[in-house]
Amino acid sequence: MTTQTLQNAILKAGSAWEAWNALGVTKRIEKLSKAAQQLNQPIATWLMDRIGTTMPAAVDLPGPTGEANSLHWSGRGIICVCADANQVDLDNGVYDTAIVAQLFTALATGNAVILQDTHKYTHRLHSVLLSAGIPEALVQLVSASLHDLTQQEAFHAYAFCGTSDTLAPLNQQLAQRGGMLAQLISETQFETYPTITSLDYPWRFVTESTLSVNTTAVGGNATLLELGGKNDS
Amino acid sequence: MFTATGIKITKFQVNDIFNADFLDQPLSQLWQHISPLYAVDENHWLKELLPLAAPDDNERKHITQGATRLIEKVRADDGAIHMIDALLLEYSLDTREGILLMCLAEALMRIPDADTADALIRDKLSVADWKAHLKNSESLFVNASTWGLLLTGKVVSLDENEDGTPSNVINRLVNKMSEPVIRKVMNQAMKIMGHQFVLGRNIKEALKRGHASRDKGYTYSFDMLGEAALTRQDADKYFNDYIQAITAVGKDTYKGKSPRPTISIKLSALHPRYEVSQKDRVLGEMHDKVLELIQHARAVNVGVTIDAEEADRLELSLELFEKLYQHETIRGWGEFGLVIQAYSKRALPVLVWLAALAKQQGDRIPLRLVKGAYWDSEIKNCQQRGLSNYPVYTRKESTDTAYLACARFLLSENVRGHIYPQFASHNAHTVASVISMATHNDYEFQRLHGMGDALYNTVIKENNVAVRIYAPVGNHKDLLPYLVRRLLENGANSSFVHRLVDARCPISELVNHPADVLSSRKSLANPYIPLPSELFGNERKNSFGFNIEIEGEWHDFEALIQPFMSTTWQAGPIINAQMISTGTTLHAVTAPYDHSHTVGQVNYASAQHVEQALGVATDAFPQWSNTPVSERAAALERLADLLEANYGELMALCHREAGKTLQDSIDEIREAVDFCRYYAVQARLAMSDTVTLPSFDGSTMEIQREGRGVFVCISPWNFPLAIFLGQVTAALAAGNTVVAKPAEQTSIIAFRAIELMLEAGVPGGAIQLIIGEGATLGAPLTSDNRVAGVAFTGSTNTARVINRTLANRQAEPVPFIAETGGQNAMIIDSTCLPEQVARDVVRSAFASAGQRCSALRVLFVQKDIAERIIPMLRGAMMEQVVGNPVLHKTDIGPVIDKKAQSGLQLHIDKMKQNATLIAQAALPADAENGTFIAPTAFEISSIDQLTEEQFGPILHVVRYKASELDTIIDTINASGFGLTLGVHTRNETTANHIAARVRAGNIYINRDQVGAVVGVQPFGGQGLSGTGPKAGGPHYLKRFTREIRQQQA
Repeated sequence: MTTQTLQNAILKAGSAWEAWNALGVTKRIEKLSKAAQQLNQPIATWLMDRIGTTMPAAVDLPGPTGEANSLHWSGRGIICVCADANQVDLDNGVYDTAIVAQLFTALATGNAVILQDTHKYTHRLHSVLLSAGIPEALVQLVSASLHDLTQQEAFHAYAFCGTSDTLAPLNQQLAQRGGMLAQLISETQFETYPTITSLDYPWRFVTESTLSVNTTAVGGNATLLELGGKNDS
Repeated sequence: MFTATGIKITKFQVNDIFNADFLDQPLSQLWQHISPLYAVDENHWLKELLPLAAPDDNERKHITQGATRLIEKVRADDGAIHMIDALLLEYSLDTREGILLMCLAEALMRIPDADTADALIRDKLSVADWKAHLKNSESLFVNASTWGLLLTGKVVSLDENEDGTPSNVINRLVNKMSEPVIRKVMNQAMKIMGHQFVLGRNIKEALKRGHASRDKGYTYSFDMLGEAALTRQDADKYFNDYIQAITAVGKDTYKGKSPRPTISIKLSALHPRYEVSQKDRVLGEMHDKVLELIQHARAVNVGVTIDAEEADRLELSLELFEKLYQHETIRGWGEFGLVIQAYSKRALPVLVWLAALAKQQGDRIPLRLVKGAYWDSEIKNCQQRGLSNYPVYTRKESTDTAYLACARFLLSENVRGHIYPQFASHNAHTVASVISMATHNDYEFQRLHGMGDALYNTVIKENNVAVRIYAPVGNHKDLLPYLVRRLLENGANSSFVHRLVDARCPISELVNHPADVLSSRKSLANPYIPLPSELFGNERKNSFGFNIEIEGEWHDFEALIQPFMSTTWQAGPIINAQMISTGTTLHAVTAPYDHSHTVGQVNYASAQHVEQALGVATDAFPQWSNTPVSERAAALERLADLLEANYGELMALCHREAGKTLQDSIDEIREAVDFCRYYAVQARLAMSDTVTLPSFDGSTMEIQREGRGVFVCISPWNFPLAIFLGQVTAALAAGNTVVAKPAEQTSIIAFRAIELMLEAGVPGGAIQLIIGEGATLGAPLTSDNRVAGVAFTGSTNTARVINRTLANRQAEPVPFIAETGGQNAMIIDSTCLPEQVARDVVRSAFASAGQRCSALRVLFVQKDIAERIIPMLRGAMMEQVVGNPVLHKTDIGPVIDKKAQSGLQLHIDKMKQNATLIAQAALPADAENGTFIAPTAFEISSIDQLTEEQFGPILHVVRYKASELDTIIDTINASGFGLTLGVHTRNETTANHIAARVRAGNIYINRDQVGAVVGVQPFGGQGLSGTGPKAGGPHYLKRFTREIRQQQA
């Protein structure tokens, strides 16, 4: 794959991201569930259940009267799901579980994905997602080396599965990259999967935003005025 | 007790005020009673006030009978319910639809372009769930229909019989095709409303239209509508309007018996900086201007009343009033008066002082006693600023009680002839009370134009008492903000005015004496309105702030700061609880606003100290990590208390080392305190218990969090206490040990913070302080394999360097939490209120000399209003005071150092070549002694003209066409930064659209975009602006932990 092809794929992913992210977590999970069922990967269903139940789209925050504050989250943007190409075919599909986790979590949390073509299973993942109706631009399979992928400044995060030996140079290459600081979300232990089963895992794929609305801008605070006259005896 | 000036203060005893000689005390002595009551404990003060308001049995009976009779007559009067009363009856303002329609009414007339106006109509009429409400036929559709009818004068009827189901009518109305029609109708409706609620568009029209009421015996006080002036030009315009109005009233030829009308003036319209901080200007140039106005009024014998405004300006208004009143050209006139708000806890001592002022001068002061118009914003303001208590009462019945207590004093024999009381109320019980309490007729009532007609028609018929109508005069487009405020004051279900005209409400419920109602409450203060300190309930205490606008609070606060204004501090690295002075390099610290002013000496650490600190921190980790989270949290809460206990010293350091202004310094300390308490709570929440969770493979996981090891915290100079402690306390609470490296520019305050932390009980091994230059210490700190994580706030470039150094270690990747820069935008459309925008833009762009990550850099103004907004912004900028941040009058202090100054100056010089200068504020005469940058605004064609963040008081303005909004959003997103965004619009659909599309971490609607509060507005951006999680949010602390698990099959 040429750099140009990779960049085109990234552009395409970028243009599809906004609508996918705006869809909301419930609808995204609904769409992804079909694919998860087909794949028969318990990790995917388990993660989507966790995302659906522990990541409310908005949380109201306390604060002064006359102001509405809330905390929201959305996908970071475009995520590169990649793996250690020399290892993926080993060990009875233990990598596959991790790759599924990274891919489904990235998508469910509102990101567009560039999926590195590392082995046959990535093709299967790709086709299952497409046949489940996930738009083509949101999950694109690319055959690019890890090195080429790390050169792309448009990636907000890299969801990597591989050995610690590959992780260190990957981290170094990413740090050399210009642009934003890319998140590196890595699973390196395939017996216990400490990363993909951790409490904080899905949160690594998202960015938070705070919304603060002055609800008294028009002229006053009717709710508070009501409280001032509340009868409580 | 004695004050600093040696004046003896006796406790203000409520009963003493009736003593014959009480008003003969020196004015300065009576003045001393005012300020201490600013935020007095409400229960305590009301207990003192209640006996003054409470009637004896005879009076109670008399009042009840009088009020009952008045209400019966009002209800019997067929014409009683019209105009504002009708609106109040139809609108209980707790409905979304009512509020939406009010929003529409408030904004519609000022929108110059049809597209935006139509979009606003669509927004307001389509978002509410009208259909659901229709099933509930009793209220909402009726309300909506009423609005339709009332607003449109029957031009458009929302009659449900006309078109099948009522919701179809609404849908048809908001059908795109009909929007221009609706717009015309709505505008027409506003004019009709304007005609009803504004006495005249100009004073001549008002005088003419007032004749009918004057024939009935009423007279007027004319109120010129308009917002507060933000610019010299606007102030001049309002001044001329007042002069013309006074002239016209003076020439009025009305021949009837009704007393002469007066003019009410709003001081904030007459000067762009009518504020305590600008007291010299207020008592100087502003005094001269107002004097000119009053002299003119006296020459044509038109009485003038100064309107009351916010609680912060009360004392200032009194000082100005005193100076004007005592002026030789005003003495002896007796027609120069003012308004006092009874909801203010200070009202009674203010009345005493005013009575003494009049008595000692030997003439009278007309005084309008109102209940108060800013109640909700006063409460909000105090909660935001963490003040000790409210300046106003928190219950309606308390205000009503205080009103009667004040009335009793004003009607007393001692005061007669000195104060001419003017009781403004639409409450029949208050009116009956005043009539009963009065033993003479030297007073009058006042009512609003369009309100209480029936009530006062009865009063004027049955009593020998004067009634004056407070009547708005001015453009109809200025009416709605006024009307909205009146509706809010009186439109709530619980308000007297609302219930008076509601025949379903039994009269017996309306004639209870407020003192009796209040006495029956379990607590005199309203339990539903928490004190500012209790804003976060049981979770944590809110940080405490001082109100520097209030004389009493300021004097106490200044006394805390003053001892440290000449201190010379010695600071250095702290390793294992010991300050290090060997092997260090000594650096002198001077104030950024005056380089001849020495702040202290600081010992800079070497790379060897870094090695030592990392060693100590590594060794201490197991013990600190194993310390129960409750103990770690408790130590941080003790630190919060110690920070507050050392407020004065920390203020002095914020001023002298960081160049921060008074309010910025208070905010800084409060944020640091909030961080300590917030992360203590977060740590307990996240780390006290083990989480049990089924895993995907059917096994069960038991997960516990613990600290990761040694965290390096690298913080900037712009929030030298808050961000510094925010990072450090999160890391410590999570069980890490910390090596902290504050910016070298603000080492001393960091040093003091660590000393306090040790005092609070954080062990010496857990916290290491490394002071010195980032260039020499950064690499040794971040290249060490023992580092288990880094928290950093600073520039995007430095973040990259740290990231590379961390990655190059022979170690596993570790968390790197980076908070970096921004190219923050604000988007305003033509529905916004220009005055509000100008205020928020000036604060967002220039407060703290623009040295906030959140500060506004690029303002996008819809073309249609640019010619209104830009001159207002220019005028407001020219009123900003740049200078010594220690002084209250200073709005904008210095930038941090020469490097920052020259970089910013270079940008200004470049922009002067490539952009249009909008305004540049003046620098102080002694600017050369420090590092100042004049606040500057440029108009540019696109955000693309800016390549990097300019971390200082420089604003860029871009005009955009309404149709190009999405393109503008794309360009903002294309900058790659995503920190803060401001939006000013009355259109919720627009606000939601922008908020959904702009990729920013903190989005602020219809307010300024700086000053994020811990736990309320968690702070942090995305893209080039940072990694997350948000500081002061629920996920931040967790990033400092690792999960330890046990898995069972």
